[in-house]
Amino acid sequence: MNSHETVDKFLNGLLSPEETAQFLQKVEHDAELRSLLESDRIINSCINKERMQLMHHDLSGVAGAFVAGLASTGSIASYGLITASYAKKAGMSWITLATSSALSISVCAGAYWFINSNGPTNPKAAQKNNQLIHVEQAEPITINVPVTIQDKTPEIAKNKTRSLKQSQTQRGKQMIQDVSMPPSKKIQLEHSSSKYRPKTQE
Amino acid sequence: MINKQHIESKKGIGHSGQSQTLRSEESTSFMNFLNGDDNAAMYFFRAYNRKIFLYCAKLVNNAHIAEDITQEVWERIIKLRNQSQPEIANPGGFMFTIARNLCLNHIKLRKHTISIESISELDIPHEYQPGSTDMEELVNSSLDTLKFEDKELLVLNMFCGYRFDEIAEMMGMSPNAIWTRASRARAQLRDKVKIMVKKDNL
Repeated sequence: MNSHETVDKFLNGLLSPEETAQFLQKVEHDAELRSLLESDRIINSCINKERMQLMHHDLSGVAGAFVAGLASTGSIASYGLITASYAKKAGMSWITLATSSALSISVCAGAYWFINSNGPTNPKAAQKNNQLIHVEQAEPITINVPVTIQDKTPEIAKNKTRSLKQSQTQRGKQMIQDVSMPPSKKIQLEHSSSKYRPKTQE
Repeated sequence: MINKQHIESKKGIGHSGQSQTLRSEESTSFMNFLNGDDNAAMYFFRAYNRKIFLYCAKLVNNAHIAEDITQEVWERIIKLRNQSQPEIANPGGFMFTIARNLCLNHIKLRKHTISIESISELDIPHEYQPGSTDMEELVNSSLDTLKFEDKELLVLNMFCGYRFDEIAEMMGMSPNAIWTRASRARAQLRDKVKIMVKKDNL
């Protein structure tokens, strides 16, 4: 058995008590074995340190993706609260969980608002809408339309003849007034050589 | 004198009966998970999520990429839900195999996009951890110089906390073969650290 193998067995507790005692006695006198043990101690401490750092690495993203994956398979985990509890179980931090919950709530509220915004939001409009609905639901109104419609009623014709007579009498009075006026003088125009121009002007 | 029985039991070979019962129980729950049981899903997520992350983080040397790969592992498993699947006898091994393949894909892609000759030693893709000492960096870079299979073995043992018999079961290998490989990989690490310590002392 070489020294590496002995060291391995010693470190893994695979040596019997007698062998362990022998090994420890040998270590006191053998510098090679001591250096091997020392390097092993260094390796272990370095690896443990790195392991601890990796153990504290935040894996909430992986947990979130895992829960989302479960939900996408259509199992019970798709329901909100159950999803949250699973997410917590999976190792998502409270901050991540709260943020994602707040986001999902706001998205849901936004979607609800958007869906409802298509309808009337103020009470007056809603009332008006209700009235319209009532009218639509009321009995239909019947209108009696006559079969023949006369163009002119006798009264309208009478009125028309009366107005004609009145206008004729007014015109007659005006003609009488025109006759009573003095006769106009005929003036010879100086530059009316053109045969087309009138020779006289009133 | 080496107590063979003690070694066998410490390596986990003696636990085979108990582990087989646990494995069959886990297999049943995994089938429940695939058949839509959310509680079983949560059990597996809590049991394996961090381990898969640690495994990926060490194999690809980047916590953020490891997070993405871990998420993809779960996505792939969730995709198998409600589909007719043959019984998976070793769920842990199944999940780590998915993670392993994804990590290898990522490493291959990285190899295609960046040539190792074009970058200096300081720019070797290894996540910088603030506060890490030279020795810690040396241990990490020494781990990267190991063969992929050996590195994987040490990561599963030292980071994910699996016993060698569990790793053997997951990888479908004998515990003794795993032990020998792990011992060899550990010896390489020790030698590198020993040289560094000697240089420091000089």
